[in-house]
Amino acid sequence: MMNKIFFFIGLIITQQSIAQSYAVNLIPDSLKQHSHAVKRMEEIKVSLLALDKVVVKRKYALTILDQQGDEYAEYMNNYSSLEDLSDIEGVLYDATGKKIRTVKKKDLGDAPITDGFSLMLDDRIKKHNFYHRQYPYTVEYSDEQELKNSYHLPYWMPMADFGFAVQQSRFILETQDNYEMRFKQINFEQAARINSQKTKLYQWELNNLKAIVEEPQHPPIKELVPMMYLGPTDFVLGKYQGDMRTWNSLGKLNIELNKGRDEIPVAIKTKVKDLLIGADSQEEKVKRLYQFMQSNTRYISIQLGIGGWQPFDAKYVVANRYGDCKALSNYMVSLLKEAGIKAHYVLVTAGSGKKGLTEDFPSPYFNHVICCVPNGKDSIWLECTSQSQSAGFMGSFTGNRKALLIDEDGGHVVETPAYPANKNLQLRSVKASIDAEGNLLAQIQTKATGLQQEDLHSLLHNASKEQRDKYLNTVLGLPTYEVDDSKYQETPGMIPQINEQLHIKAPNYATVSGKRLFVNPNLLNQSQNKLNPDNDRKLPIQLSYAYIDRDTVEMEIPANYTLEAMPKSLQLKNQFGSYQIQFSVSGSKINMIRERTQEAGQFPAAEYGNWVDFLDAIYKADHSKMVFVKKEG
Amino acid sequence: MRGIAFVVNLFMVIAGLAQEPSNFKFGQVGVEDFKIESKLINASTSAVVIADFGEVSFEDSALKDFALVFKRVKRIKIMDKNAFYLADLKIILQKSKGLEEKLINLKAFSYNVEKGEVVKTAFDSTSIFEEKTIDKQVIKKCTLSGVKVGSIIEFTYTIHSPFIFKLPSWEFQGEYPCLWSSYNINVPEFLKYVIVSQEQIPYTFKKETLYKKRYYSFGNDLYNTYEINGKRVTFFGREFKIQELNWVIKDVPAMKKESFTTTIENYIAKLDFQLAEYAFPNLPLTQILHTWPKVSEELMEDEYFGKTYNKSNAWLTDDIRQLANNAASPLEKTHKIYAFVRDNFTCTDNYAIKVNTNSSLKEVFKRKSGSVAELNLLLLAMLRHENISSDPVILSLRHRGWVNATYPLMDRFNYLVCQAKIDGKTYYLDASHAKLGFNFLPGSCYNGTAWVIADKKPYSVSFDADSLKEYKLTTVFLNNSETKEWEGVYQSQHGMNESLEIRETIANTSKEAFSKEIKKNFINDVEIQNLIFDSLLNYDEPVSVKFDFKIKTGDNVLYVNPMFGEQIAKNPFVSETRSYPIELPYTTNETYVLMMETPKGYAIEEMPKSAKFELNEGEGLFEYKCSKTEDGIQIRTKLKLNKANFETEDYSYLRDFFSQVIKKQQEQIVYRKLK
Repeated sequence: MMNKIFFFIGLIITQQSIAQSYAVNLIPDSLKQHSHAVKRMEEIKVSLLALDKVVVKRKYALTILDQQGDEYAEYMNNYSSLEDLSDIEGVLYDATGKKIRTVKKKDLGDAPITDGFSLMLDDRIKKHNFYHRQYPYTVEYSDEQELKNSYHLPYWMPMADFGFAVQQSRFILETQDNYEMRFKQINFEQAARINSQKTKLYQWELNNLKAIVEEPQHPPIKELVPMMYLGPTDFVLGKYQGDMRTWNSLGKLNIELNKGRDEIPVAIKTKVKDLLIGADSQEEKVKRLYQFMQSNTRYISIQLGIGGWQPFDAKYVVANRYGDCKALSNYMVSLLKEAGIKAHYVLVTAGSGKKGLTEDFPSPYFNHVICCVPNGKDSIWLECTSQSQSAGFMGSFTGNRKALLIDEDGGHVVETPAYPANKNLQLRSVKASIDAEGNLLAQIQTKATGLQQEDLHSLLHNASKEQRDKYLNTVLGLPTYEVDDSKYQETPGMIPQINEQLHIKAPNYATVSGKRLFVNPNLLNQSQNKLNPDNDRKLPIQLSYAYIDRDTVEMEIPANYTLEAMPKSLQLKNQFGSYQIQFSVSGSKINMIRERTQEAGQFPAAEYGNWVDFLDAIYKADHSKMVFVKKEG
Repeated sequence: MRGIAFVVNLFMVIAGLAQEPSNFKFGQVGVEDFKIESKLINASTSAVVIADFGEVSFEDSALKDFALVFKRVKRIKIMDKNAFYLADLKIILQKSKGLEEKLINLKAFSYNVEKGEVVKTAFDSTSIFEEKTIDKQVIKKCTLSGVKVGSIIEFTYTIHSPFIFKLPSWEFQGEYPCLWSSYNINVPEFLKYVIVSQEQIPYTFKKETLYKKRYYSFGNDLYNTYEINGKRVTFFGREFKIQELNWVIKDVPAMKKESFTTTIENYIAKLDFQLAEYAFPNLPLTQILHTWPKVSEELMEDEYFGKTYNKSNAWLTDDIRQLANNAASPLEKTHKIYAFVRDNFTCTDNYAIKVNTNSSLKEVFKRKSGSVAELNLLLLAMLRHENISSDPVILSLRHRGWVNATYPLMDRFNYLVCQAKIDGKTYYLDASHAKLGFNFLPGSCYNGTAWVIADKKPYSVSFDADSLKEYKLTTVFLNNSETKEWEGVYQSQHGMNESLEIRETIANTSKEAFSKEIKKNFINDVEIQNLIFDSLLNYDEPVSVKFDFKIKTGDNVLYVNPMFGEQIAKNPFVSETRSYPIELPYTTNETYVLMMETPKGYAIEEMPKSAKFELNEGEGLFEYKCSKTEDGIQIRTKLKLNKANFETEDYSYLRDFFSQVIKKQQEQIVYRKLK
């Protein structure tokens, strides 16, 4: 046993001390195929020296094969008040492996990180780029980070992207002998080699991973490539200690972080009492308090140190009328508590198309907080950073995923509401007329619900009327047109609904060509989605959004025309959904009915051909024109 | 008085007019202040600036050093939540050579009416954050407390700046309507500024006052920093004349960016300042604002400008020999040197006219990256090394706004290219763009006047978008085949500007991805084969695209749009009205030629008529010629816009012109099967 350990440790040392050759001809051809960059070597060593001291040493070399690979050649890493970054070194090699240049300290860039919405973050970034342009070339970088917490640990992702191959990548974890670490391996089988002496060493290594070609509507990259996440058990975050073995114990940290932060001033307590006068149901009470919170606060994100995890207290929110997702959700929970309604702080991974937590692997990969009010079988979910969202609606940002609800006894995995096709409707009716010049006037009534009302919702609430008018005048697929009247009516609810009324003028909508008139009756819902066929599709097809569209169009054309050509009606149904379109003409009146149901989910690569054909048929039917000829005399 | 005299002349002293709204006092807002009546406010107004006051004075007391003191007071009413961001303050402080601006007296309040009373909330002064940016500026950030829809917010701050030569600009006009915008400057007699007034809206009033003020010392800092002829400047309590100037515009409408605008900066009401001269007591007058010859002379002597290329640069010899030794002519050599810099160096900063102060051309050469000025000055140094007649050209990019026609106001200039004269011909070279051809400048350089900083005498040249011509030629041939199909050949040669876009798109994605886009976007239900790009990597030539396609025939009636995907899909002039001139990037000259055989067994039933329409008597033209040939139809269309810059009033004509073009391009040919 002793021998083996010595041999193993000796091996690492030997490998590190031999100068590695980065000559490009040492890359196997199979790794160059479909690649823009090849990772030649990587070693990440995470040493959990103490619960408040984790050292991460990283070294990697990348060969950049072409211009598109340049984006990977840039070095960058973060630092903050909770993470130090040091010992940045880098070397540039040419195609033969000859050293050309090294990193000079003054060439290292240093910039604040901006996420586009926060007022203040304390993370900064160090960057470097050799800006070499003779392909292929190789960059080698190494650095060291020291984390002052063991809550958020790095993960291993050897393949950074599509079009990216890996020759060799190694991940080493060092912990105290008695520390229990958890692992989650994705898309690879190899178990770690483990050696214990004074400390415990785990080592994983992957070699010769071929590049994956990016294909349209692919699943997220993190579901396709080998990855490994570390799960601490006992951990430290700032002055807080915790245990991450279960979701329940992980949630106890948030109980600690939020402790004593729910006190609200007397004036607000009185306000809560006043607001609830006459509210008889729990739903009504929640709605009133939520609206009070929405109209009296705004979203301001300030993330400094422990403030990235700990909310400003409720009193602060009252005094300043602002807060981030944590502070506003905590405030909302506090208001509800004052009203005698039990509500919960819920941690979630937000973002359209993002997955929720992995149930069998407790870990803190969250970026958002929402509020949940248990209410029989339908809990009421509240997005507290929005001043306009309906109580109960989560939408594409936080809906349909697993999240961590904080209760008095710790964390519990819960599911946020999902929105199947029949909740996401767009029902539209168009009454239009075309004059002898081809000019069109149309009255459009649209009812949108669920995920399909999200765009209209942000158009109504996040844009000025001027911006909205500007948008309306560009969004419709007509060559030249004007929206001369628009009206909206909103019906809040668990599935919110918006009714839109537009009146538009579209000069030359129909083509008058000699004695013929060409009209496309499908004025507003023409599919723009066309895919190129691919007989060698490799990845599953990811469709993340289910919906139903129903369109009816009645269009009056000048009386002196007769029908010459009529598009075929079409009816399709398959696992992706269904589509039907019907055209008819009676006298000078055109009628069109269209209905499309789109399902969401992951579909096997083998179905890709059918998906392309389905979209193609829809595209064609949507764009088909009717032809009329002027009556003689 | 010499330097500032022309400004004074512009001033009419108007007595008896108040400089501020009579009832305005910072920190005091009454219920009545929430009722704002103005014709500038409508349903789509998200915020109204009630007052925006700026004041500049020169002080030697508040902080020990002599400083430019800029004080701002601003009051805004928030009408809807889209204007909440106005409550987030970001104040940028400059830092340079050990000197930095200081922010003092930041106060901010919000006011809300609750139960008929005004409730005033101060901001959380413990939450002033400081962020250091990449270029060493310091940004102070904070946000106001108590803000909601309907709030009035108000803030004031003062910046003490050691940079006494940089008098801040003032914009009267912004994204929201402003009821009262006022700028007040108090300039001591020893500093003379030139005032550039962009008077888009007449001043409600202007006022000049003269008074006296006692200064004690300039302090050591200034002495060390500005090196006023090596002498320490002391005033010993002397009195100086101060000129106070005040400009006010009331009821300033909002100004928002519309498409086809180089920059809105050219069209808003604002004031800019440039130090002309200073004459401290007991020291000779120092001219700052010079004539162009003097500016050029100084640039020549600048170690980060003229001195970089006006020397032997012997370290370049070996490399130049290697890359251009076998060049047959100076022109060929210039081509090679240009391509070398363009292909081997990366531009990391698009705005600069000098080499960075911590850098040198030698270092740029080693680092293989640099600012636009560094790369083009390197190019220049290499050309000079080979005795090729060449000079730097400095200019202002379109988004930065026009340069001043009268004065060499240097802070407008933000880009540098290289001019070479070979065998009596002039070439303009920009090696900072990876995909640019020899003697082509990016469209963003076409912003009017530019200055050639020639060794002996500088002179101006003009890069006008009206002179930038974009040609495009597309031809489509359709012939009958044996298999009852049309066989088509499509060929398109793009203009240089579009070629650059194509090259950049392909570089950012891939040729395959771009090919797929072409295939997807060609007419419906038609398969494309043999897609070829020409001159994709030969940056001196336009890109052309060529492919074959087949169209099935067979139906009783065939309807064909003869533009084959070349028709304009959407009118580029979207909004109905326009409030300032239209600036297109270049002129347009597009020709489309179609030769189409009538399919066997069919007869032409109907075809589009020839047509022609002009825009504003010769400023634009669309011609559509359709004629029968021996075996089919020939169509030739021409779309021309002979200039790029149009007046505001031309907008509706342009919009209608394109609407007509689109209408004509949608017309169809109808074939009927013979019985």
